[in-house]
Amino acid sequence: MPDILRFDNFRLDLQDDEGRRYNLLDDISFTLPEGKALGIVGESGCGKSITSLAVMRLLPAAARVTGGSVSLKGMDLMSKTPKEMGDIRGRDVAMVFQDPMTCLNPVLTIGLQIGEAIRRHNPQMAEPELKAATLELLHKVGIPNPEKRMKNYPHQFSGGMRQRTMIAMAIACSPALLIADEATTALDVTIQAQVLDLMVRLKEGGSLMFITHNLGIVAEVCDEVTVMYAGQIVEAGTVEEVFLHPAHPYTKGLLLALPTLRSKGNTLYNIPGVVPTVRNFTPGCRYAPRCDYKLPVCSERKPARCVLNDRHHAACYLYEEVMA
Amino acid sequence: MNQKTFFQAFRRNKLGMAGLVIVLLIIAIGLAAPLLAKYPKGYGRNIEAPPSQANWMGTDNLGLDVMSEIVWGARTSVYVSAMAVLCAAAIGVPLGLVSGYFKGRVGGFIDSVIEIFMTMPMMPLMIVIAAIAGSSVTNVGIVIGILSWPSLARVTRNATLRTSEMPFIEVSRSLGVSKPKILFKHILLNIIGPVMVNLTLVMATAVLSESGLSFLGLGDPNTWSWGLILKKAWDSGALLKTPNPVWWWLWPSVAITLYVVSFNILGNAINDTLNPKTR
Repeated sequence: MPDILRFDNFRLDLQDDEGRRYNLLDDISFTLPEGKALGIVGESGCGKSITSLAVMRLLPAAARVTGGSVSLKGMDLMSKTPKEMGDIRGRDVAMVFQDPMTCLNPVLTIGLQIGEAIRRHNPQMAEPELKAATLELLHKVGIPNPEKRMKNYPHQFSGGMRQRTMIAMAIACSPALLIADEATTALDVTIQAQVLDLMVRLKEGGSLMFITHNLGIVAEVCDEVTVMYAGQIVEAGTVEEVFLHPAHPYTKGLLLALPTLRSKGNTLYNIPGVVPTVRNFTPGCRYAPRCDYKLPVCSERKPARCVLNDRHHAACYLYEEVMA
Repeated sequence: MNQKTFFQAFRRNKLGMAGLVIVLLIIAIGLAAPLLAKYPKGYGRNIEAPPSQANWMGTDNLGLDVMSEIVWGARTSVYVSAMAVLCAAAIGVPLGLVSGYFKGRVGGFIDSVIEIFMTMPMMPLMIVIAAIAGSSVTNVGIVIGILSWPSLARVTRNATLRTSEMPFIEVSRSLGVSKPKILFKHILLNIIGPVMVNLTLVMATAVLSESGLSFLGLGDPNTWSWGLILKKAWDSGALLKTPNPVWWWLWPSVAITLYVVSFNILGNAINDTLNPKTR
């Protein structure tokens, strides 16, 4: 199966106003096979969102790509001109963002905003066709009474409906890859379930990339999962492998912190400390300061990627002997 | 906010409505001047006559009807301020949008240019340019417009800085929407409030400047304007005379004040209506 998205040793630094550079993404490598759903999990500040923005080439001004490559459908994204990127965005890859309240332009009608997303890659489309396509999209994402609703402004929509609208805009040109960056975090659980269901249903053979810190969502909708910590990939594999046999201490900690039906009455595990900011990343394994299984070597050298089996690998010294 | 709710909220603002009515009235008078009064020229029979049935606002030292002069002066004021607003908007809005959206070197450069222009003393510069360009009404309008764009650009820039950080702009980018479209559709429509307010202020200051230039003799001597009436009154010594032909200088002054105050009130009202806290 060909890969729709491929990160190869992608490195990215952040540069502050004084010109000092801090490494944020450290050798990010993963692939997303066509038609699959990949979850990227980790706490806030682990570089999940910046990874997805790298796919869109919408990185903040302070970001500097220092190595590696990102390829989408075999195209090297980092070598594209801004104009070529404009053609790729929306057509080959689209994104659903986190906050439905601020992600729609408050002064334009819903219909206009969806129409614009369609027109961008179908410039020759006539007005009646455009309207029909807009109505169809609204219908697809389950907005009742689309004929009337397309004339509404965003403030007349509820959070769930706005997120549906966002999805409609994202899938307007049937992108091969749909990225959902915490797309359901701001919604309440019932709406969350509906919106998730919608995204999975509407990907239509395309691939999905879920950025989330909700492990439940990953278990529910993803085929593969990549666990990130402080800009490094600590563990990756199929959802089944990673969730049933977590290898990296960070992944174990994340899973232990989840409430289960049996954990009633007991205090949940919590990983001590917080994710360091990019200025305070430590050499070696960045998780070492918080790790319960820390070895002396952890803070000296970055652990290599250890293949546990053909569907599972982790970057941790605890598994070096498995390699050897 | 959509248009309908804007007008509903605006209608509740009594002062703003009064300002709007006066502004519209003056614009209407200016546009309909040829229908309302004969163009005042030549000499009249009654010199410096007080208000009467024939001349509601009296006559000047040439016996010309002051009310006709005011009516034709309104035409000039509207023309000059429209001209000035067009020029200021054509320069200030795009520059403000661009400098606010492209924060890096381009934005910084435009911002410095705005700052340099803001430090320039407006009136002396206007006098020099008006003297060089020649005193036609169109020239005066363009000169005022060219010199009042910096404040407009600054307001546009600040509003753009804020709006371009909004997530919906990033959404547009992620859909491949082009930069001109993001700037002139997504951002401009969002910041139209402060821009409109600033445009009404430009309208008001344009008339003040025009009156000033005319009063100093740098306006168009062949076209009636409120400033020109005042200049003629001043030149003939009417302001110091006893008995004083009050009507001659009072009405143009009232007209200027009314125009400026109404536009300021209108601007304020638009601002208040757009701001949810003061709506």
